[in-house]
Amino acid sequence: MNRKPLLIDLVIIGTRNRLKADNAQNYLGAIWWLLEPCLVMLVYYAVFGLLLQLRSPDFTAILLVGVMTWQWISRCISSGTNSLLTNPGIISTYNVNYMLFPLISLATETTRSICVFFVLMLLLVMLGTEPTLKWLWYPLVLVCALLVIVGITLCLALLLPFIPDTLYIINVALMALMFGSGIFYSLDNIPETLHQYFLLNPIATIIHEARTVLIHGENPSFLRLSCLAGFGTLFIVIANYLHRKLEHHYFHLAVAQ
Amino acid sequence: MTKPILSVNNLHLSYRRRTGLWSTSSHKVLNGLTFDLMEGETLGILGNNGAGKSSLLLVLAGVIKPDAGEVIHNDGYPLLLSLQGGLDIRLSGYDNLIFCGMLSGCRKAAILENIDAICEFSGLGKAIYDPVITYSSGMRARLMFSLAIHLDRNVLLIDEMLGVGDAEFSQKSSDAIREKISAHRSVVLVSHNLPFLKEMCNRLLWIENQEIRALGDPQQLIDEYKQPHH
Repeated sequence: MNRKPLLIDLVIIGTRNRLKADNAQNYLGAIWWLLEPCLVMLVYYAVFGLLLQLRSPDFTAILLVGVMTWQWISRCISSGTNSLLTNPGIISTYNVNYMLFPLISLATETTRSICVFFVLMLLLVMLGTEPTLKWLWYPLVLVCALLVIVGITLCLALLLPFIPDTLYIINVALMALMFGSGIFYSLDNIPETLHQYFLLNPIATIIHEARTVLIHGENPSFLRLSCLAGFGTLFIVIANYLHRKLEHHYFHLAVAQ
Repeated sequence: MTKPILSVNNLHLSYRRRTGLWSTSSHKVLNGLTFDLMEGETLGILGNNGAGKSSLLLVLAGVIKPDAGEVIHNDGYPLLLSLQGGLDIRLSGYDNLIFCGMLSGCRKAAILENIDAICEFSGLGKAIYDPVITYSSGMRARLMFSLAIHLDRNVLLIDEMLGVGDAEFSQKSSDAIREKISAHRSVVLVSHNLPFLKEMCNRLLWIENQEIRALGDPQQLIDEYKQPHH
């Protein structure tokens, strides 16, 4: 009994518990995993499709991929970043790796979204998009995206307890990202000279590559995917460094809340 | 009782709290503690409320990192048995047992091996599968106590766990702690129950004003402690 549990085991059990607890809190349970993104999709469609008449030929498909991917990313970042603030009970009682909390949030939101991504592909087929073999690249796009999201979320989660005020900035930044990542428009809608700047935003790149694979049936840009993976890995390394440097502070921050 | 299983070396700890953008207030809890826990020894910790006893156990368990000084674990991190902590009230008692057990540093397989014994000991019956939000505070204490007493480690830290629950469970839990201590190799015990400390401990450590006031024979220290104004 002297062997410590691995972090990954704690993440798995913690995630299972979180999903179970969330589902027990409402009547429809896991149905909400799909229903919520679909409702959000309807809102976007009503505003940008019907009111603003932003109708390119593939508008619905473009919007669908954009909204579903964005929902996953934004939920990961917003629930992951404040996860050290919402678990003072565990932090002040157990000797744990503090990255456990953001990792549980990330795993919870990602598990939910995996079902969404299957439904997304189904909806695309129903809208008349031909499924091609290139769709097999889609999981690779998602894995590269996941690395970026994990890296950024871990760093933010570890820094946030020191400056809780940042939470407001993160909310504003998420809104800016929502408009700046091409959720309801695609690369074709912006001037060509701005493309390279637009794609500096990793989330814009993730959504663009997902569309390239799913809607246009083309190979993703492997250069951009490696950049995403490299960027994500770098941030994960930085998060590990931050954790080592800052871990002795979190108990005090948790009990002082 | 030959070599130390845990050595504490000039331990300093303050609680820090941010009061403004640039200002923090700090409050000293432990001031230069040095002692050893020998293999096979039961060391009792004595002191008034707020003397720093629970903080000391948290440092020994690795939950808090000390500001200065060190704790040398010659046999891995000790297991801290305490009744508070980390319950997710939306989940069943059963699910909480597994997660809290893992947070305490045990592998899932090891907890599952003992899970029947844990549930049995708690006496919660079918309620173990109900969400913890439906539990009374006594039931929660039963749950956490049963988990803690069934986890195993070479060094145990026990923070005031006597008299948990109703009369029947309280007796059962005191017996379980007694049994645990007599079977165990090394224990650090915090309690305000002086007869119990005298009965169980080889040595006592008396903490006062964040420092060690005395370390030694239980009978002698308890007599001194009982005197008014010490």
